[in-house]
Amino acid sequence: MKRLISIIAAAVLITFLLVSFAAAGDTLVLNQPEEDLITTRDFTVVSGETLADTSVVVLVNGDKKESITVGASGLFVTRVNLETGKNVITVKAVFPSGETKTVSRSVYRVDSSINMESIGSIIQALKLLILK
Amino acid sequence: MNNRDFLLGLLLIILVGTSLLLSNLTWWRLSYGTDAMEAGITALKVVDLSNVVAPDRVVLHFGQNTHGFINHSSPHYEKIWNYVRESLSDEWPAGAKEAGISPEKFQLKRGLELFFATPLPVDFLTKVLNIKGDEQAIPQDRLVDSIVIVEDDGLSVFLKEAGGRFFRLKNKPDSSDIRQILEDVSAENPPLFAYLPPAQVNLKLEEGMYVPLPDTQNHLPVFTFKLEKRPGPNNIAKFFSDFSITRRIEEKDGAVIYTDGSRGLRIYPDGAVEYSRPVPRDQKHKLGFYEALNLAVDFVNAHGGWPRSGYLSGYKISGNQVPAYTFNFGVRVKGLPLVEQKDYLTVTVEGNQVSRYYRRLVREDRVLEEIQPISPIQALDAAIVAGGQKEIKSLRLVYTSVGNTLIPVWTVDTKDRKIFIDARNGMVMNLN
Repeated sequence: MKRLISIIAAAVLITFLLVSFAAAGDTLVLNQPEEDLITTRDFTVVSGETLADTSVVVLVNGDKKESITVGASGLFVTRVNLETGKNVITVKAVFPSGETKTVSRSVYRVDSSINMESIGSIIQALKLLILK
Repeated sequence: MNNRDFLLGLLLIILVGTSLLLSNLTWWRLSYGTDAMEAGITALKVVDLSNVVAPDRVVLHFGQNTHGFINHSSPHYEKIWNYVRESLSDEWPAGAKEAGISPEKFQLKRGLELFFATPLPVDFLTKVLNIKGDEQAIPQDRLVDSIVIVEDDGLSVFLKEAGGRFFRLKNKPDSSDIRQILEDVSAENPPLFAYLPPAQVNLKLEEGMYVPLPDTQNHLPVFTFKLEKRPGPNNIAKFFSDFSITRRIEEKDGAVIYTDGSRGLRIYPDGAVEYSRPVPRDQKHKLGFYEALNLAVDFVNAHGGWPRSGYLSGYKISGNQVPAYTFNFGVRVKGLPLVEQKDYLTVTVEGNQVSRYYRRLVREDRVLEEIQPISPIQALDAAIVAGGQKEIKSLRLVYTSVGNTLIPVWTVDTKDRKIFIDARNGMVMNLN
C-alpha cells in the first residue's frame, strides 16, 4: 500500500514538474508579425506578451534592432525596418529566471507596385500544390 | 457768419463721425462677444440627434495590420462620418445576414470601424441615421457598439453588437470610395497604431487594444478651464410656467433655490444647476428611446444651450409600463471625453416631461503646455504596479480636471473600480 502511495505521489510530482516546465516554455507569445507575412511597407510591427520584467531583443536577419524591458503588464510592441525580400524576424526573450526563449518569423517585403491580393492568391496556390 | 456756419458744420461732421465710430465699435464688440459664446454653446437652434450620438472614435484599418485612430478633433472626422451616414442611408444591392466573423479578421483588411460612446439600440440607429437596408433581419432590440465598413467580398457594412457579434447590413461590389478615404488620410502620415489582441499570459485583458507605434504618438495640450456662468433671470424664468409666483430662498452655502410649489430649481455657488419636477401619474405617456432623447436634448438646448462638443455618454432605462430614461451627456476636449467622478449633464425623462435636470459644464480655456502622453502599455504597467490589478476590462485616454487644469489621463477599468493614471508621468491619481 505504502509503495502504491509513493508511486502515485511520484507520478503527481513528475506531472506537476512537466506542466510547470511546459507553462514556463509558453511565456513568450508573439502576436505580430505572423509567419510568412508579405508586406509592401518598409517596416513591420513586432508585438506580443511575456512575463513581467523580461528583456526582449528583436533581430532582423541576425542584426539586433530593438531592445525592450517589458513592464508589469507583460505586453510589448515595437516596429523594425525591413529590407526588400526575405527578412527573418527573431524575438529573443530573457526571462527574470535567466532562461531564454526565441521565436522567429519570416516576413517578405515586396515592391509597393505589386498587387498584394494576387501575391496572396499565388502563395495559396503554391501551398496547395506542395500539399498535394 | 460764414465762419460760424463753417465751425457748426465741422462740429456736426465730427459728431456724426464720432457717432458712426462708436456704433461701429459697439457692433463689432457685440458680434465678437456673440461669436465667443457661440463657440461653446449652440443655443436656440435645432440640435441634430445624429451628432449627439456620433461615434466617439474611428479606427482606420490601412491594411497589412496597421491602423490609424481619429476622433472629433481630426479634420477628417466630419468627412468620414458624412461618408458613413451616406453609406448607411444608400440602397446597396446585397442585404443583411448574421456574419460569423471575429474582430481579428478585419485587422489585415482595409476599412473603418466607428465606435459609439455608448451602445445604442438598432431601432434607434435605424431612425436617427436613416439606415436603409435589410435591417429588419437584425433583431431590433440589440445594442450596437460600432459600425464597421470594410473590404470584405466587395465593400460590406456591419453593425457590431456590444457582445462582439457582427451583423452584415449591406454589401456592394465596388470599394474604391473607402480606398480613397484611407489614401487621403494616409497621405498625411498620421500616427500609426498596432492592434494587440486580448491578453492572457501575464495579464487578463478582456478587449484587444490599439497601441501607438513608438515615436508616433500625438502631443496633447494641458488646459486651464472655465466653469459655466450662473444663469441669468431670463434663463431661470424658462424653468417655470409662471415665474411671478416663484419664491427665492438663499442658503448659507450661497446656493439659491427657486420654487413655485411643485417645480424646484437650485443654483449652486459654482454655477451648477439642478432642476426637478414631479410628473403626475396621469401625465406619464409612453415614449420611445428616440422621442425621449429628442425631448432631453431640446430641454438642454432651451435651458442653458446645447454644448457644441456635447454627446450622449450613457443612459439608463427604468420601469416597464412607462419607462423613465436617464440620459448622461458629456463634453469632449480635443476630441477626447472629459471624465470625472460625477456627471456634467444629466436629464431624466418620465412620460413626456423632464423630471430632473443637472448641469455643470466646464470649458477649456488657455493652453498651459503640450505633453506627450505615456503609451497605453505604460499606463497598464502603472495600474498593475499600483493596484496589483491583473484583470483589465478596458483602457481609454480621456481628459479630467485637476485643480484648475484639464489634463489627459488614462482610465483603466477593472472588475471593481476605475483607476486614473496621469498621462504625463504614469502616476496613479486619486480623484475622490
